[in-house]
Order: sequence, then C-alpha cells, then structure tokens
Amino acid sequence: MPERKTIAAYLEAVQGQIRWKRARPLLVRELERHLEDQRDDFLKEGKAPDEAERLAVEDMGDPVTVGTELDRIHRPRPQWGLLGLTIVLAAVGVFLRVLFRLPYFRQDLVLMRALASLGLGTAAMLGMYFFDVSRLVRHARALYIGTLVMTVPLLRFVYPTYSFSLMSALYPLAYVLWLYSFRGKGWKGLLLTILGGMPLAAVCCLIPSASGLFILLFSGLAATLYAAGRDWFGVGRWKGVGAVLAVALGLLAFLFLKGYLNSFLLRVMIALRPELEKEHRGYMGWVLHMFWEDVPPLRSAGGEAAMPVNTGAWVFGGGQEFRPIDFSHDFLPASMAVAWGWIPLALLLAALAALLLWLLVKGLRQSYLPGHFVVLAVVLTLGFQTLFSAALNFGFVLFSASLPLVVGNFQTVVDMALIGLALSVFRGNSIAREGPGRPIPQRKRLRIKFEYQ
Amino acid sequence: MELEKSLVSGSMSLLVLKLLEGGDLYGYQMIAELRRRSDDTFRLKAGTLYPLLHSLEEKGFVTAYEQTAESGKTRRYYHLTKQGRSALQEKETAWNAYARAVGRVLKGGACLAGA
Repeated sequence: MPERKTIAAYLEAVQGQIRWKRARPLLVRELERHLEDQRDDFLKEGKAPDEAERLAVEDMGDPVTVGTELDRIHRPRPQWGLLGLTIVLAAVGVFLRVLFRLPYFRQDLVLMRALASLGLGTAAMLGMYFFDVSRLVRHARALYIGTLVMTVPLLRFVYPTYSFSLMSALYPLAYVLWLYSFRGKGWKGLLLTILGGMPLAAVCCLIPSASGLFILLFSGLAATLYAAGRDWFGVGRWKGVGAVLAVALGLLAFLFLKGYLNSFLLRVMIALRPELEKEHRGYMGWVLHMFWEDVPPLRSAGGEAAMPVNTGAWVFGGGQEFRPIDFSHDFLPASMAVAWGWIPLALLLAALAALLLWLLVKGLRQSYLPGHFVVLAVVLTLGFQTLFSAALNFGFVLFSASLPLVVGNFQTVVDMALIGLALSVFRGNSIAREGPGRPIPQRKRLRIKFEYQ
Repeated sequence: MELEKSLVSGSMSLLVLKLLEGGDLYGYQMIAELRRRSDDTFRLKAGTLYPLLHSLEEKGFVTAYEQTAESGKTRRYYHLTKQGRSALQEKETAWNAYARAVGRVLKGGACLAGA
C-alpha cells in the first residue's frame, strides 16, 4: 500500500473509493476538518508540522477501508418505480388526448403534439430527477422572486389565463422556497413568509386564475401550518400554528366584510345545485349532471347501450354530437366516463392519488428537511389540481382545473418536471445536507411503511 | 489496557449513542470524550467513527447539522433523535443482560459441564 503522509493525499485516496461523485465533496469535507483538528492538536503538543500531519493521517486509519465504508452507505437511491409509474400515467394521458380529441383541431398534429409532450415531459422529469435539489434551497429567495418576475409580463397578454395556468403550478413551490428561507427568524420571519404569499395571490387575482389562486392559498396554508407545527420559525409550535390560523381566519373575515365571500358562497351553491340556474351560470354543471345520469359503472362494448369509442356524445337532431370535452379540455375525464363508464375514470383517479400519496409518505419519511418542503409543495399542487379536476368533472363547476399528467400537453410537461424534482429529493437523500443551524425537532414518524425499489 | 478489536466493535454504536445522549457533539469531540470517559481504554479511530455515524444517520438514530464554532471553523454536529434514544435503551438493556451473563460465567470458577 503506498504511504499517504499528507492530508491531501489521504483525502484523495478516500475519494477514490467513493463512486457517487456528488457525495465526494460532502463526505471528504468532514474528514478534512477532523484531520486538521488532529494535526493542530499535535502541533500544540510540540510536534513539527510534517510530523503532526503524518501522525494525524495515521490516526485516521486506512483510507481505502474508510472510503469503501462510506461508498457502501452513500449511494444514489434510484426511484425507477415512481418514474415508471409517472411515465405510464402520462402515456395514458397521451392516449386519452388523442382518442378524445376535438374535431376542429388539426388532426394530424394532435398525435404529434401529445407524443412530443410525453417526450419533453420525460426529459424534463429526468432532468429534474438528476438535479441537486439543495441548489434550489440555497437560492430560495432568488427563485421566489424569479418566479414572480417571470409571470408578471403575462398580465400584459390579451388572454393570459392559459399561459398562466402553466406557470401557476410553480407558485406553491416558489412560496414554499420563500417560507424555507425564514427558518428560525422568529415572528418577523413568520410575518414575512405570509406577506410573501400576497404578491403571488395578487397576480392570480389580476390574471384572473381562480384555480391558481385556490391551489396557492390551500397549498400555502397547508405548508405554513406544517412549518409552524414543526416550530420552523422558532416562535413556539402552538403559538406559530395559532398565528397562521388567526391570519387565515382574519383573511376570511376581511373577504366576508368586503362582500366577496357572499358572492363566492353563491357560486358554491350554484355549483352544488346547478339546475337552479340552468340557463345561466349553472348551465355547464347542469349539462354535466345530465351526462352523469346515464353513466354506468362500465359501458360494455357489445351491449345495447354501447357508444363507440371517442363518442360518449349526445346526438342532436341534425346529427351534431356534443360531449363534455366540447366545453373545454378540462372535461376530458368526464368524456371518458361518459364513453366507457365511471370505473375507468375511478381507476385513473386512484392511480394518480396513489402516486401522490406515495410521494407524500416517502417525502415526509426522509431525513432531509428542505426535501420535506419541496415534496410537500409538489404533492399539494398536483393533489389540489387532481381534487379540483375531479370535482369539476363530476359536475361541481366552480372553476377550471386540469387533471395532472392527463389534460394539456404543456401542463403534462410541467407536472412531470415537478414529479422529477420531488423524486430527486429521495434519490439524493443520503448526502442531502442542511445548512448551519440546530436541527428542528422531529415529529413522530409516519407509521405507514412502503416497500419499494 | 489494549482491548481486542472484536470486543469493542460490537458495542461501538451503543457507546456513540450514549455519548450523544448527553448533548450534541462533533466527531473529534466524540473521540476525545470516549477516551476520557473510558480512562483511555477506547481509542476509536476516526476512520471507524465516521462511517458508523453515517450509518446511524441513515437509520434515523441521529441527525446532523453544521454550526460554526467560536474558532470560526464549521463543525458537523450529531444529534440523538427520539428513535435513536429508544434504540439506545434497547442496546443498553441487551448489553447489561449480556454483561451480567458473562460476569456470572466468569465468576463461576470450575466448569460444571457434564455434571
């Protein structure tokens, strides 16, 4: 074995045994500090510099054994199962978008665009999967400001809603990064965190994007409560939770006093009972309710009531067909249920819910705290999108919402990128390191245990 | 007194967890503290300690965080988690039972096998 008498040579030998390149600097830094401490102590004992360094190195043990042991512990944890499930769901989305395409779109482009979205989405997901998520955390505030600045120009568009619907999926993540940056900053940090949500909410109102606003509000509230519950700001767990709830209730009271809440409750009532205003604001919901009255669990292909695939339509006197998707792409799931029965839709929603639940449980079980927040933002965003889309498609028409990975080509790319980001947290968990500061007390771990590759 | 390596290695995680029960420490402090508390009996090599600490972190028994000391150097401190505390209790119970059993055998004098 060659002699390694200097710290640099010793560390190089250790590094040589660690196969995961990203892990090397993090692991070696700790050993280097230890060697320096040991060398300095030998110097204090009166040893010559060369001898002090040599003795420190000898005291550390065989570098090959140390490096091999560290290599065994620190390996990337592949997430092929979840990556595969995401691609399968996105492929189902491609299939559905092609099958339930709108007749007035260029038919030759529908398949090409859908396939391109799957290809781009997979590339974006893998790109984020191999991305070092700690970089996001290091530049948390800059990313928050960047996201906000990127979306403001959309306000100048004549029809900004569609472009914004793609960007709004990033708002909860931007807010959570902003929140993360106020760790241990006390009441001022909590206040600034909440204030940070306001410009994002204001853009949602100006666009206007009701789904973007509600996803931001619900996700933001859930993430802030989660942070306060872990005493993220250092003001005390219950005080923090109480303050966040007080702000949320205060906001509701303000909206009530301004009269916004009344008009919102009226919209909710119409969404629940659309037949009360079937010729006006409840029309869409009423039509969907009518569709759902004829939806069996499973529409048999050879049965009397069978409808041809890609139909699921009402046929009017002139032979003109009408399907839920003709309202908008967001109603693709309802069209699918009308054509095939509600069981295929229930299975699709269950698969999405399983993916998100899996992400959430894994996210909250891993030890890297910033990762908790990133996963929480991704799961809350996609979870609320799924929930709102399901409500919309079952006839509760309050605002538009696209089913993640299924509706919308660009939306699929954004959704897949977000899932890739969440998976990168799990992949690099073994070497994920928090910045300076004492650890936040750990909550009781979730008892649910998943076995996975 | 020099101890056989195998005697020490089996109980090393117990000793490290026990050290952390008293407060957060960084690696260099742990080695010094272990030597002090064992009257210089346990001279743990740093090359053994760090892989052990990382595997304890992997199991969720300890968490680590960086903090800048007064000297200006950034240290990586280890903190015993709730899970680590219960693992420590289990290991201590097992160790005490083992030590009592060994003690009884050693005090027993002549072998009674076959009696």
